Amino acid sequence: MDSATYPIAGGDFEHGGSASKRLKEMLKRLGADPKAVRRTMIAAYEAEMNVVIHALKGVMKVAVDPEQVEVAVIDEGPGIADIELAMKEGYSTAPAAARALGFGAGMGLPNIRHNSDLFSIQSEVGQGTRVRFSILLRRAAAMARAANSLVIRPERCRQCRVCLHACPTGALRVRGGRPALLDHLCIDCTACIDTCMMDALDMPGRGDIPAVGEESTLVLPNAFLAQFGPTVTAYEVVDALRGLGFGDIRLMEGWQASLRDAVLRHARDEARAKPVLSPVCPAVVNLIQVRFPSLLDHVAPFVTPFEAAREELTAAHAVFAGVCPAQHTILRAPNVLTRVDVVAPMVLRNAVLPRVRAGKTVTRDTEGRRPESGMVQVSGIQHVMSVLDQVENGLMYDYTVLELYACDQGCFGSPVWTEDAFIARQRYERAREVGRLLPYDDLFLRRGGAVRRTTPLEARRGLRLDDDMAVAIRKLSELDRLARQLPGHNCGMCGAPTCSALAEDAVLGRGCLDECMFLGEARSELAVHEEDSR
Amino acid sequence: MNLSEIARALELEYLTPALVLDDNRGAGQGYVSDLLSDVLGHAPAGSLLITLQVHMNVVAVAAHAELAGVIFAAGRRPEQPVMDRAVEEGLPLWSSQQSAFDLVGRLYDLGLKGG
Repeated sequence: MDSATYPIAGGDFEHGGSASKRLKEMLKRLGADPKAVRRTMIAAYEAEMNVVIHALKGVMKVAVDPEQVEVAVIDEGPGIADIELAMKEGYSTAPAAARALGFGAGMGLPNIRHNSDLFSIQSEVGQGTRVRFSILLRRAAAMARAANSLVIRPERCRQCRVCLHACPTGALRVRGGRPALLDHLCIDCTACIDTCMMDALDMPGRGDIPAVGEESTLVLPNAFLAQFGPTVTAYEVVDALRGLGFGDIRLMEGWQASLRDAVLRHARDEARAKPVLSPVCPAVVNLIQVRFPSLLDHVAPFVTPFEAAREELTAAHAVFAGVCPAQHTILRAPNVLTRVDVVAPMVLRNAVLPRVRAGKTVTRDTEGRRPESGMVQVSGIQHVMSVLDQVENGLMYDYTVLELYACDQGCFGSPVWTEDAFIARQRYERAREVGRLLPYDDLFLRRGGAVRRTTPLEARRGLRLDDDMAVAIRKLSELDRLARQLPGHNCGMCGAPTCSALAEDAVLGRGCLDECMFLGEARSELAVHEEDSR
Repeated sequence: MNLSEIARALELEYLTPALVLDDNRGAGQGYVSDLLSDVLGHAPAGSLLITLQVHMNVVAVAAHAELAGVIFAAGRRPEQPVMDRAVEEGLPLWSSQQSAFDLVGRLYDLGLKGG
């Protein structure tokens, strides 16, 4: 990547444009597409002249890689009080002297936006303004931008094909025994990664924590703070991260809240297509582009919080814990101001864990502990399963009451309904709020009773292999032996949901191992392993 | 129609004789504006610009927008440093006594169109 910094002098109309000219020469030397060069020059010249017209001094920073050029023009000047107004064509605060020279047409910022592929502006009155934009240098690069950060490790694929059905856009294929991706359909979400048991589909950025210091800012996903069980406080986690050497720690929350405010403001305008869609998740933005292009007008004109974080950071070094391929894709773009590193969230967690556990005994039961918060509702059968697992493991003693529902959003998520569970729930809550305010309507106010159970709940047969425990133990070891012969990728092709389920069926006489289409393969691999170990 | 032919037809005064005009280089489009951002944002690449602005920034804008050349209307003439800079940038400049309106009308008759 090439980068450069050019100074800009405020008020120097004679030399205005010299920074853009140097940028142009750089791009021409690099052999960039002439159309892209022209767009870059228009945007760069406007940004430069804004500094000349309005500010005391400024600087143009440029980074170029084969796919795109990124430019940041930062000034020390009066700042812009109302950015939205400044973005309107025809609005200008240029002084008469500048207008006499043909400037101040109120088209500078709109010109920059029209000619760039990504544009952002930040301004602080009395301090200065930062305009940042990037332009794709090749048409091919425009396609590459749709590219994603999904990592495919074909050698790990066991052809279970579960991912094929998980992908919301049908972007995956398994051909010739290898997973392959249709780039133009992939939206960079986590659906396939989530289903792949073999890690054949994965995210980039596994590895060590990069070297960090005082100049390093860590941008932390909110969820990170909640990965240390019920006893570790957020401040202990942050202290531990500081202990790892990070100079500053920023939570994504900050950018998410700002986006929410901005989108709500944007939506107040009656003219906007409703509902306005907040670009909070980059994978959803991609999804709208791929599958719902007719809704693009609804998407509020802001970059995602993650992009905003990347745009805004001025620290010399920023470390991001990307949690999805879409975030990794965002981080791949060149950055003029900051050296960007990526750390796998779980690598970071594992580094923090010993620090927050040090000097702390880990209790796995409720002994001597008072739950901190009252009730939590959990819905969706997968979530309910995982929460019950945690309760069984004694890791949920910070809650007094759990309300668990098998369907998403409780009975709002039953398949009998046509309305989406989240929306239906929201509508109901709204109706209830209104209903409570109507004194003559007791629809939502009338209550029934709570009825006490008279006979205790009993365990159902469930997972027990046999009523006779001695027999059950024998069957269990047989089950283990059979399961080891199976490939273990839980493809379901045999008709049983998992390999151990097929083994169980065989042990209990409900099925036969030969149903497994990979059995020969797995057996021969096993034979090789045994050969090796001899 | 190449640039020399256009200049002859409109009786333009050539301000940058140090630039030898390429007979293969023509202009099929034109643009008229005194607002530089407007020129930058809307003038088609390779077009001829008609303007009243005669200061240095016109050359910078025309070069950035990759225009074929600039005609100063209504008898306007830039100062020498501007012409020198135009030569450096390879940007031909002309001056004409005619108004911008008349210049555009005659260029239109010659077959030039807007962007």
